[in-house]
Amino acid sequence: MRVDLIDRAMAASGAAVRAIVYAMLALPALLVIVCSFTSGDSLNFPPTGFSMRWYREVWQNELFMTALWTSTYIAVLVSTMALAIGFAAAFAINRFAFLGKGFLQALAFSPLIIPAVVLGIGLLQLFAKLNLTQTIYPLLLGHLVLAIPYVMRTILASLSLHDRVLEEAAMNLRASPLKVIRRITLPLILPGLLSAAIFAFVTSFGNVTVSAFLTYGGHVTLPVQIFTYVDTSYDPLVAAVSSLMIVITLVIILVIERLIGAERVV
Amino acid sequence: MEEPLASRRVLTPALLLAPMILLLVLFLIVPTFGLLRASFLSESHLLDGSGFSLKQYIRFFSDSYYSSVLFETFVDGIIVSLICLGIGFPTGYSLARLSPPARRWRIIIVIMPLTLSLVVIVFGWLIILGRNGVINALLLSSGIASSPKQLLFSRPAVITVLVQQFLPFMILSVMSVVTQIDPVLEHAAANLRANRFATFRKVVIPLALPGIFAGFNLVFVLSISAFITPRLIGGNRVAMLGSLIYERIMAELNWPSGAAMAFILLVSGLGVTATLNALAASRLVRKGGRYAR
Amino acid sequence: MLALSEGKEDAVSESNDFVVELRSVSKLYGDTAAVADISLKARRGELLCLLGPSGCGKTTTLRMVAGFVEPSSGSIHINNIDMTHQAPYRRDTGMVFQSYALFPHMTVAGNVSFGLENLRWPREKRDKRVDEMLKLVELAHLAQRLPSQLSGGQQQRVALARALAIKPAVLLLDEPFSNLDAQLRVRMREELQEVVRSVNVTTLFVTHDQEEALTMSDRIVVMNAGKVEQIGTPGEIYETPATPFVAKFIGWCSLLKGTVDDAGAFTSTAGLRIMGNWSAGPATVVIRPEQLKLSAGGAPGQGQQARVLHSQYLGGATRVVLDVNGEQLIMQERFPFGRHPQHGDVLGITISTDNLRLIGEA
Repeated sequence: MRVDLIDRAMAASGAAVRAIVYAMLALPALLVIVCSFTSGDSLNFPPTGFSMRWYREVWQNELFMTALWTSTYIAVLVSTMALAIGFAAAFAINRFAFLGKGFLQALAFSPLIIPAVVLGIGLLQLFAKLNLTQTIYPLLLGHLVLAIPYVMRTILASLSLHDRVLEEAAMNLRASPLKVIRRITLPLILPGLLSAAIFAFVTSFGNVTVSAFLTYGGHVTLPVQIFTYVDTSYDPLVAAVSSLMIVITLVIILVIERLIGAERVV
Repeated sequence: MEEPLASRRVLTPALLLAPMILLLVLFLIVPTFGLLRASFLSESHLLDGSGFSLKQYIRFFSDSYYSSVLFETFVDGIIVSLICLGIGFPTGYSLARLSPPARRWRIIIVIMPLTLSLVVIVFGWLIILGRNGVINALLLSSGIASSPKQLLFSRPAVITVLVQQFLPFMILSVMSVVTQIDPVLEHAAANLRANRFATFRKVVIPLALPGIFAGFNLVFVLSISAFITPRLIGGNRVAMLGSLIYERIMAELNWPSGAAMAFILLVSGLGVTATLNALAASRLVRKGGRYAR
Repeated sequence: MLALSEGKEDAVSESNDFVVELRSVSKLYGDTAAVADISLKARRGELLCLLGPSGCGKTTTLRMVAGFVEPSSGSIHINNIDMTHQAPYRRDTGMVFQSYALFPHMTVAGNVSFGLENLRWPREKRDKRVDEMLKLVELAHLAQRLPSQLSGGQQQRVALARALAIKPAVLLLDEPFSNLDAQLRVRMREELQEVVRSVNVTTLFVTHDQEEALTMSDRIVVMNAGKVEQIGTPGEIYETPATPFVAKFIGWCSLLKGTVDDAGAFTSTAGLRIMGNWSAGPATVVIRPEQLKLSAGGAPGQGQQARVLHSQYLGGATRVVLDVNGEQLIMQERFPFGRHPQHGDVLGITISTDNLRLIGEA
């Protein structure tokens, strides 16, 4: 009897905690979308009326539209470059035996443990010395550094799941090493590569903690624009912009999920 | 006919790794050391200077305000990590034991806050906690409160938002380690007359310890360096080290001071990581790690 | 080098007939030798089998021939050309992998054609060859399927067609039946043998299954702990095992240790005496189950007295472990219906001394 009670209490509390967790995780994004359709002038809950008014305002707002363009532009560049750099490095780590491999892997993942403020200020200082703060380079290179761990992790995972015997079979069938990579390795890890690129895109597109230090009078990304806007005031305009970001992110998650399955994302 | 295999084995990986190494050295390691250098400058408002002084560090540790902020930041970090562990473990565990189709949408919900921009999440919480926000609307309409309550700009609010932001890291760490624990072990424990609680305490948790440590570590380090959330949710009332640094650099342009604080943050974060790693390497956890499938 | 010079004359006179030759090949991983000083030769058109328990170095040997593992010492020759340090894609081998290693993103035809593309065969010739190969393995109707849509046996046939399409000097088979169930295994064995014979390709075949080795091979290389224990035809391996390991590994047998006296008779350590005409000295005798016979219906009192320790009913026959003069011997016999021997029964048996072998003696 006692045993039964403990079992039931654990099952019930577990279910309750999970319900709260999922609600808590989903709620902020959901509410942003709900409030973005308000027809009123201020952010209230429940929203007053329904309109696309604030989406029109975003479309006409040069500040946000420029920031959206900057964010997209940087994110595309970052994902392309991160993919190339990350694939080369992951391939070397996966395929070759050399001294200091563990150290290199630690280096590749170190951007995850360096606090964003440290990286942000450090890069700001570096580029200030180089007199390049007004250019796109601080953002581009900062995001590239941030994207490396995600790209490396995804590609390393695909490479280690990839059956090496298939490459031996190809070599046995007279395919040269380059041909093996082109005909066998790349096509088979393509989903992993695509999701790595998408990861890099999302990392760059959504980042604010490092970008906040790097838009110092120069190019402003959309998250930083939202941050500085909300820092002083907030209104349904931000809700509309944020909803756009939510939709873009959600679509991207679904694409990754299709490509490699959500499990393998993490 | 023989190929120069030996030289190719060195040259090829070196060439492949060069771009990544170059990128990380130039734009991660060099800036970090540049910051370290700047933290030892005595004069403020100087990007580049000469001389070496511990002035910034001495000032930080002798000023009771800074020490209290550092202390508060640590306490907040620990609270956030513990809450994340408490509610993230059951969630991560259940995710690991669900069938893939049932797992699908739950995973998407868990991953969403990770991929979504932080400002958007924080903005969502402004809608929830704001004066005209969701909670106040509920309180007013249900008659519990007669006038809107000030929910923002408080430490509990900051902690709540930080928990939501970093919870996915804990859930995913726990999930990945629990998926490697064979469910048969739990059945065996049950067959040996262990109830669910005993099974958890004696089988699941010891085996899941590596994941718990990893999740705790990640959440703690992210929490203590947060600055967007304390600034937007906590306002001027809640000071955390991250938001202090942001102000020092971006508003006051006081480089050496900001740099010193950033370094104190980095070192404390690495210190906690090292401590947790040492703990994880201790006998108990090593056992768990070794026996997890 | 020593081994090489010993058999030199022999090698020169027949050298053109050897498609694959390993000369004192070793592979060390750290301090442990996966393969230790192996020398062997495969004649043209021969099906040579590498047989041994798992971890005996047979797969490593095969992978060294294919070029996936570089030997630590020694040399490997294919068609009398030194290939020891040659890249896998420059070697004239065709391999069927244990897991088949079919490219999952290519069709059956695409898989078979892949090697031909790398050899830069013109398209028409290629298509013709693919068609020919798929007909050979009776899979022409599945040419456009993906490997995941095929059964295990079909996948194996595609792997074989793919390896043979490029007309390799030597076909390498790495435990090709281990992924098939018992019944399919026997059928595929026959099919594979037929295909290999019809194209008359020299074949190196790795297996741990002695039945496979005995039924399929022209010659068997028995390996153990990285070394060659014996090379010979299936008959030689079974009937005249060179070492106790070979005797034990191939088929059932009882090994008796003892000495041969001046009269040429063998006495085991426990005291079992077997008459013969061997040369004196310490020796080990191999007794196969079929060399034990029931004397006059197995009634006690006739022949040697044997007490049944335990017996296993096999359907067609019964395998009985007997205690004969303190030695344990295995016998396989068809007992009359209802007369299945029980533990403790006493039988009268005779040990046939024809073909009875002492290990280490010619």
